Order: sequence, then C-alpha cells, then structure tokens
Amino acid sequence: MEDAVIVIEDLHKSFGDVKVLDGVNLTVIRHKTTVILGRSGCGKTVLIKHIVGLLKPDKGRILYEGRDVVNMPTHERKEMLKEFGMLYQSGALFDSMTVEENIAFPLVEHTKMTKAEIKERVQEILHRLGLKDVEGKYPAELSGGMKKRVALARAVALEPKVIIFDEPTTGLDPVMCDIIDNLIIKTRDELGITCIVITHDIQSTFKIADKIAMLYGGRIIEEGTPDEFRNTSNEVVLQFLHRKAEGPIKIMD
Amino acid sequence: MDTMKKFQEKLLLFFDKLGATSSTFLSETGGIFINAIRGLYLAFVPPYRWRNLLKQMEFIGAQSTFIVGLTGLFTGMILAFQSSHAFRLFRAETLIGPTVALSLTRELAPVFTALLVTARAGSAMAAEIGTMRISEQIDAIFTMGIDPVQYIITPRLVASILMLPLLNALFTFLGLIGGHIISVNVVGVTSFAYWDQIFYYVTAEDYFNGFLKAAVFGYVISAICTHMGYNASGGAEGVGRATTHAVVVASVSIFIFDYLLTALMY
Ligand SMILES: Nc1ncnc2c1ncn2[C@@H]1O[C@H](COP(=O)(O)OP(=O)(O)OP(=O)(O)O)[C@@H](O)[C@H]1O
Ligand SMILES: [Mg+2]
Repeated sequence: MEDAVIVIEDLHKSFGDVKVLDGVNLTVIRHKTTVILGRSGCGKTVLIKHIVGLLKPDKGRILYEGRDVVNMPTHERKEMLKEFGMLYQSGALFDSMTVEENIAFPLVEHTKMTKAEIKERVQEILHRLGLKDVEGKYPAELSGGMKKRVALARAVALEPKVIIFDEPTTGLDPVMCDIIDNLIIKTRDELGITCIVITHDIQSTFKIADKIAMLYGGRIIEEGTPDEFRNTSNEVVLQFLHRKAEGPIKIMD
Repeated sequence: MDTMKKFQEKLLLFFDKLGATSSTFLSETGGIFINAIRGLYLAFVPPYRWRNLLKQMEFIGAQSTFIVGLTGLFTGMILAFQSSHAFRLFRAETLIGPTVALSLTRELAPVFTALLVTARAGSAMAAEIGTMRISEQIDAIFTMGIDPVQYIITPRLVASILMLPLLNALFTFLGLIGGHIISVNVVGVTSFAYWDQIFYYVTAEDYFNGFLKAAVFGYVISAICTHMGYNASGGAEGVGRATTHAVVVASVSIFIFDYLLTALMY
C-alpha cells in the first residue's frame, strides 16, 4: 500500500443541471507528482477546488492525511491550508500589491522570517524563474507569462507540503516550460513536496509525472505510471496522447 | 374558461416572482447582517492587521476630508441663509447660530457625511472587493489559510466606524464656520452673539448623538458595501451591478437608520 496524502472517494458535483464530476476516485501519493490530464472543460479545476475546500461536493469524501476535508471545522481547515500551495489557472495575483509583496505574502503571514530573509527568499525564487527587475511592478504591468511565473513563485514560496499547480505552463514559451518542469521536479526531489499538476502538455506530463490520471466524462478513466500510460489500450487516452481529432472523444457534449 | 386558466397561471407566476423577490430580499438582509456581525467580531480575534486598518482609515477618513469639509462649509452657509429670512421677521437673528448648530449636530452632519462616504469610499469598497472576488484573489487568500473576511472586510468595517465620527466632527465644525460667515458678514449678527447662543442652546448630548449616529452609519454602509462586493459574480458586469446596488442600498439604509436612531434618541 502506497503512502497516500490525499484520497478522493466517489466525488460528485453538479452545477445546476450540468454534471461535472460523476464519481471521481483518486489517490495522491506522498513525495510524488500526480498529473491530472483531461480535456478543456472536463472539470479538472473543479476537482482541485474540492481538495482545498473552495467547493463542496454533492456527494463523496476527500481525506487529507486521513482527515475529512469536506466537513472540517474552519480553524482546522486553516491549519491544513497552511500546508498547501496553490497556483491558480488565472494567477489570482493580488493586484493592489507589487510582485515582491505578492510572493512575500504567505511568508509574512505564516512564518517568523525577518524582512531581510523574506526579501532574500523572494529574490532567489524570482531569479530561479528568470524574472529580473520586476519586484516593484504591479501585476497589471506584467506580461501573461510573467504573471504566471509570479503566481508560481507565490505558490512555492512557503515550501508547503502539497502544491497544486493548475496549468503551470500554459501560455509560456517552450524554454520557459522546461524551466517550470525542472522547478516542479526539483520541488519534489529536493524538498519532498507532494505535487498535483494539471496540464495539457503531454511532453511535460511524461517528464514530471510519477503518476498520471485522466479525467473524462466526470470520472478518472485511466490511472497509472507514465509507462503504463504509454502502453495503454484505452482509446480515449490514446486519442488524447496522440492529439487526434478523430476517436471516441466527443467534441460536442 | 381558457382565459380563466391563463389568468390563474399569470397569478401563480406573479406570486412565484413575489416570493422569489422577498426571499432574495430576506436572504440578502440576512447576509448583510451576518457579514456585519462576523466582520466586527473578527476585529477582536488575532491576528491583528494594523497595516490594513491604517490603510483603510487613510482611504475612508483622510482622503474624504476635503469633500466632507467643503460640503460642511456650504451646508452651514445655506442653513444660515435660509433661516435668516425667517428670523429676520421676528428680529431674532441671533437664533440663526443655534438653528444651524442643532440641524448640523443632530441630523445633517451625520447623514451628509455618511452619504458622501458611501459615494466616495463605499462604492470603491464594493468595486474593489468585487474585482477581488471575480479574479479569484479572495479564493487565493482563502487557500493560504487566511480568513478572507478578517483580511478584507474587518479593517473596512472598523475603519468606517472610527472615521465617520471624525468626519462628522469636521463637517459640523466647518458647517458652524459657514454659518458664522453668513451670520456675521451678511446678516449682521456679532461674532460673540453667534457663538454665545450656540453654546447656550446646543447641549453635549446633541454633539454626542451626532457622533453616535455617524458611527452607526459607518458600520451600516461599510457592512452593506463590503457584502455586495464580496458576493459579486458574473464578470465585470457583475462588479458594476454590485457597486450600484451597494450605493443604492447603503444610501437608503442611512435614512432608515437615521429614523430609527432619531426615534430612539429624542
Ligand atoms: N462556479 C461554477 N458555476 C457553474 N459552472 C461551473 C463553475 N465552475 C465550473 N463550472 C463548469 O464546470 C465545468 C468544468 O470546469 P473546469 O473549470 O473544472 O474545467 P477544466 O477542466 O479546468 O478546463 P480547462 O482545462 O479549460 O481549465 C465547465 O463546464 C464549467 O462551465
Ligand atoms: Mg481549469
């Protein structure tokens, strides 16, 4: 039995008449990177929002370290979330704060680090992500790719136990994608952080994943190691991996 | 028979709509109430974020001084002008001072100050918080293990409760100066008589009640405006809607609470 950090059991969620999640089962393993694949609009973001408690399921259970997330009391959830980092698909940067203040925010709130130490940490992360002279800028003054990287920096700054990346490389150039991939790998290997990554990037999936799960039709239809995925016989997965328009995946739902 | 059925259907639809409206009205009122209580309660729970509070006090208070002061000055001048016509008939011009002062302390200063702050700071609160909601910044605060209500709403409530009485004092003071300018220079009352009569007729209670009203208005408008922004949805249009809604509801609420407080106080 592998060491599970997060266990999702039979998760159901509808918005009005639209059924988005229809019985998702997924286990996230400690110190490993789990990649969630799936078509645009299939419910990946909705799924991870359940993990942190932003959305409440209609049915099903989510366990973090064996504790029930769904009915967790507020103070306990706060403590739990301090162990999480989250990169939002939209960035969700605080637009009234500078880049430096954005990245420093979780450090200021949750650590006893001094101002100088925080400054140093921010500099170090920015440098690693190839960002220069942006500390004093506001998010509105950044390019899309820069925003994404600043948001990424904010998610990893605290070096939490679990980091959720919602499409970390979307909208970045290939070189930058590789830098982000390396950062995620380093995050796992050097800091032992458990990562959950949502992506559409097949190449990066095989580079970073210890485990891949494919979300389709509101369920996880295939789950396994990269090797198992390469040798899959599942038509849907094959169509997705080989970027084909023809196949079992319905374009119109 | 057919028309009868159609009529019945229409009637049912009407009741449905009425029910929906009243239930949204009730749930919204309840939401604002809960927001007000929870937001203020969290002011007494650590962590205390003094920087956020100071920033809001600066925005709601310091940056409102000019328009509040200017409006106060002109309000006092207008009051003195208008009342001078009546008092001249009775040769009771020295009563202009107390008239201006009582109107200001009891009613006009707190109400006008609250309306001005709603227009200036209340709308900004709703728009800013609404934008934070739709761009997932509030979600981001939540997932960092920070209570977004405590981080965003609490400082605005506290700052409003603290700053409104001060702005009210400024409004009253400049209103009295405005009244003085007109009484002395236009009507011909002596400066001594103007102030003397004010001190004679206006009690400490009048001033105190004015401050109390201002503080309550500050609480009410900030609770409404933050609530509207916090629950905004539907993109840029939704933020616009929340802002308009916030200003309208807050303005009307000022008068409703003014009536309630006046009935209780006097
Ligand atoms: N708050 C919401 N209210 C109503 N419907 C929603 C809400 N959030 C998501 N949905 C719906 O749920 C479905 C899944 O959305 P989700 O954002 O999870 O997609 P996704 O898999 O992350 O897609 P992408 O790869 O494009 O980001 C969509 O059909 C969306 O319209
Ligand atoms: Mg998404």
